[in-house]
Amino acid sequence: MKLQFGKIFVFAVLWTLLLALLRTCNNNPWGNGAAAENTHYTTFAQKIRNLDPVSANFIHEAAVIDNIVETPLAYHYLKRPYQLVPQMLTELPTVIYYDAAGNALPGDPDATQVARAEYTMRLRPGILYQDHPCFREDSVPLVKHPRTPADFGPVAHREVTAEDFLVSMNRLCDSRVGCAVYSQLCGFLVGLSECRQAVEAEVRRLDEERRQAGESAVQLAEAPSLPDYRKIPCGAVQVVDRYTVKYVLSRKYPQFLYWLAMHYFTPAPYEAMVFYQRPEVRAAGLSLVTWPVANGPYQLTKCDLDFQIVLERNPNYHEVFYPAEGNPEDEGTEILSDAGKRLPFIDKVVFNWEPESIPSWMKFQQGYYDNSGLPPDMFDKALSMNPDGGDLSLSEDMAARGMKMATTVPPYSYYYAFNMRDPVVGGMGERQRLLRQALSIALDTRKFITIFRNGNGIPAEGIIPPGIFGMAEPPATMNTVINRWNGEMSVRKDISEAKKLLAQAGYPNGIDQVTGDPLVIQLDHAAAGRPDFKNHFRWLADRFQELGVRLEERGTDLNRSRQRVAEGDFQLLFERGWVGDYPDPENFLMLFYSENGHVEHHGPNYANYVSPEFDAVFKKLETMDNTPERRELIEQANRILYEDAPVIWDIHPINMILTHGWLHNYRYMSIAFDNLKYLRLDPQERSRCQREWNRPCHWPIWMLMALFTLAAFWPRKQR
Amino acid sequence: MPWFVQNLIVFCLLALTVWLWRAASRREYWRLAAREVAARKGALVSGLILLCYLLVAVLDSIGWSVAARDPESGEILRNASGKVIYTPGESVLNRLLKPLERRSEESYSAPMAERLYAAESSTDALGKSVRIHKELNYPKGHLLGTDRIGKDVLWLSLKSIRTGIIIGLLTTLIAIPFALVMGVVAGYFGGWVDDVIQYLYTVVSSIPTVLFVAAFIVIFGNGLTQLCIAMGLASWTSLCRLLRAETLRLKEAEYIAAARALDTPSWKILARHILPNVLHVVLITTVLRFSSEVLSEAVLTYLGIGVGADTMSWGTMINDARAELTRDPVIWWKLVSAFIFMLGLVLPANLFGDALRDALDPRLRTQ
Repeated sequence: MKLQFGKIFVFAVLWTLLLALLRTCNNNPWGNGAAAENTHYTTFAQKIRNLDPVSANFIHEAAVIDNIVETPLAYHYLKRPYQLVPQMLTELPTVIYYDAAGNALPGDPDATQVARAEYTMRLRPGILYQDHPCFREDSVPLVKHPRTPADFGPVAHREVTAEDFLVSMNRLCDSRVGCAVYSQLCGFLVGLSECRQAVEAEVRRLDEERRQAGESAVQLAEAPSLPDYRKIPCGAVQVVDRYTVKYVLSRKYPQFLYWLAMHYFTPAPYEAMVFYQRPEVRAAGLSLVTWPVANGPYQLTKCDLDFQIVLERNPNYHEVFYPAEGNPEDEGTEILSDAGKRLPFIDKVVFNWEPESIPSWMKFQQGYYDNSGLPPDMFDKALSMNPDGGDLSLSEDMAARGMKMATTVPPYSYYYAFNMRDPVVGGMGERQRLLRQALSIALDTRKFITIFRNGNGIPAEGIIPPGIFGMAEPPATMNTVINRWNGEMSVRKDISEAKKLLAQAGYPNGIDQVTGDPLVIQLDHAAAGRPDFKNHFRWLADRFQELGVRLEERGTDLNRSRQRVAEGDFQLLFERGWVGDYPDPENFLMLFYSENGHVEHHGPNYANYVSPEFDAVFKKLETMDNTPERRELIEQANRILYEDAPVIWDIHPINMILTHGWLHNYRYMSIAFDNLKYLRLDPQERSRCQREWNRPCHWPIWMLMALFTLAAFWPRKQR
Repeated sequence: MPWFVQNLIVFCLLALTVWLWRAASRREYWRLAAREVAARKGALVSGLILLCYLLVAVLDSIGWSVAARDPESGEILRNASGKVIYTPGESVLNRLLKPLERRSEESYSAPMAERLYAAESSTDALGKSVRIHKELNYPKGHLLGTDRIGKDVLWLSLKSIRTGIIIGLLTTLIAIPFALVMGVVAGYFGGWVDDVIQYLYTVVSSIPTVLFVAAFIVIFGNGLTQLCIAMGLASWTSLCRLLRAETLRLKEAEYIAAARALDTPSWKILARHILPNVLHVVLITTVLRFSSEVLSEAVLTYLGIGVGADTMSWGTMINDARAELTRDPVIWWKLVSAFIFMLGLVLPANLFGDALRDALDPRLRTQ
């Protein structure tokens, strides 16, 4: 037999290549050794567009921002119900109320007496900003085509001072920044509109100066003038000394403290704004929207909004410690084992864009993400019912792998809003009210939760979610207009009741008695792209069909839909969610306060509901402490809403978050999202698990290769 | 659209078909072709299947509304001015399938299953929490299972037939006049007319169809009509090109030259001599294009620019399957049903189209 050297050589090379390939390749998306580092891997599922604390408005953006910035107050990490604690301050702010004559009012005066309220915050000295080139004493050199602020060489930092709160507020008032809560803030802070005018006047003056100096309109538009926010006075913020800030409110408003825990009230350094004004920085697309400068526990080191956001520990972060006490049931458990240690624990946090739930879930299962939500479609696989009764728990397989599950009812409310300005469904007439009640009964949200959310939600009685003051256990606060008590829980009234109401409203069997036309309701939405939208719509249409009412969809894109809502050009709005800004019933009931009407005042009252009766009760309960009287007033307000049914009460979702065993100290936060600094990782355990769970299965390839080789060298019969 | 108008349109279309059929059967050429198609068993069976689909679509397109009655007394309802109140009404197919439509469950159930597919939290007799699969309202009553909101999938698939056929037919009906006029005119007159038309269809055909349809839908909204118009406007070019080539060939024929020598006006030549002789191209392309239009509806709906939410279609079913296939355990029956029903329409259409081409194309016939 002749030796086939060519063939032997080819196969030797093939085998070597294959060997090398299989030795080096694996399914680890972060590269070998990444698991052993103190890096937390997590996801964001919705596009992040804005990381500027003043103008970012979405919770998925807040989930990143809240860890970069630091708010004067913060929610206690462990205690529930939520409780405010000072974070940048030495103590909780003190308040003094004044009457119209300017006299200080002692104690807790009635809201009608109060004409002005002053909150004094005392900053902790020695809080430093993150390192950034904008703080350098010398002039920052010109760098052509910078990609990140780090390209500007040496960095410096400085202390946070009271003035930075004034700068931040002035910037918030600048209409070019686009702060969404500005109109809400105007409702209780003094002199914001004057401040806005002052900023605008200053910008006009600067523009004029630049025009005099010969700059063209194009240049002006390219680099908008930056007013010196430090020099513009603002009635709402008074700088008392280097460490003392005073906020001035136009009325009694105890909820203001909650605002101090939101990222709109973080300090902002004027140096950063000057830095981002540089022409080469602007040209490179760097701005406060993508590279915020703040004093939080983490700082941005990579900001690729369509792909990955990386945060790294801020070495200048001031001394903050893990809380020593939690809820009574936390006593002696693992979550308190880090009590008193300095924060943060984790060096680096990687947020990856994962728009599809399945790949993200798979990577979590393989151990490449430390936490994950639970896609509803994975429910039956991931969860099992305890055999000896009780709650849902993780399936045995997942529990054995050390995963843990946190279940919470976050303060979210979903609803379908009627347009109260519409002649058919809106208005306070008896006919329209009965129609709205009938439609509300027809929509049995308990069924909706079973079909579309795998039982993961609570049917809403009204707008206030469970866990917020004023929402007692049913049947006490049951919505008796649409629900009845079946002995165990509140369930929807029978559809025959809805039919009766519909007939009383003058639409027997869905037909208008006056005109003889069948009743058609239009559903406005911008959700056509949602995977489950068609089923959702057909389910709604079927429920209305039971009454003989036809539901038509009126789909459009997001911008057009917003415009229609702003103009009040709709009948029924598709499912809309309200995420509580702070844990107070006022934040939910205000959705129906007439001065928050969306069409007239651009507020969040999307139903454009106007009821003097409700307004009176709301005004009374708005500024009260959580007393039994307040509870009564809330119930009164709720009953007005139940009766008028300006929206169809939908659900309060239940959120389930899964974490791996190596991620410690996880507690679900649904209002502020500054929880990263409390988390601790066990990288060794993670590496071990990742190795164990991702053992490659190579033998089919070896078998195939062996067969191939054998076939090639098999002696063939010569013809 | 009121039922009266819709019924009228359907009857007109049917009448037009019958008239065309009778006109064609008077001619030797078409009679021969029909005989040739009928001689092929495959084509004949395909034709019959297509007829069944068409029948379902027609039944789903005609209907009537009835006077509304008071559910208790049974009296006919009248409005304030004494006029009788009518219900929105339903199509014939809806009336025929009423028992199937009424058989709804709570959520998913597998074909011929007795219980719901997903477990539900509940409490048993001892008060313990358990996860159970509830019994169906109609055990073993769903040949193809039920969907997320508990509708029978067979019913969904049958209701989707009309959408599929309308998209296939209407799109081609919109495209044909454009293609016919432009193709024949360009081929016959030549010169600058030809240049302009060629330029136009080259430009139109170089716009990606999906982008064109997406832009159209964004401007005019989601809906079956809009979708058909958009797809029709995007798809006339290939037929136009074929017709132009065919006309160019015919123009050189001796009988055309003779007609010209006799000073017959151009429009008469076009109508008398060219048009009847290119009709077979139109017919072949129509049947062959039909299937691709049905398929593209599925693709467009998958991309979220197809029919509206209240129209049932196979594309919607496939789009839903995206989420259903990643569920654990998998929900497969909706995708499979859509697949079978689409295959049942598209495959016969293609087979029939092939047979028709073999029978009608003179070049193939001479071989």
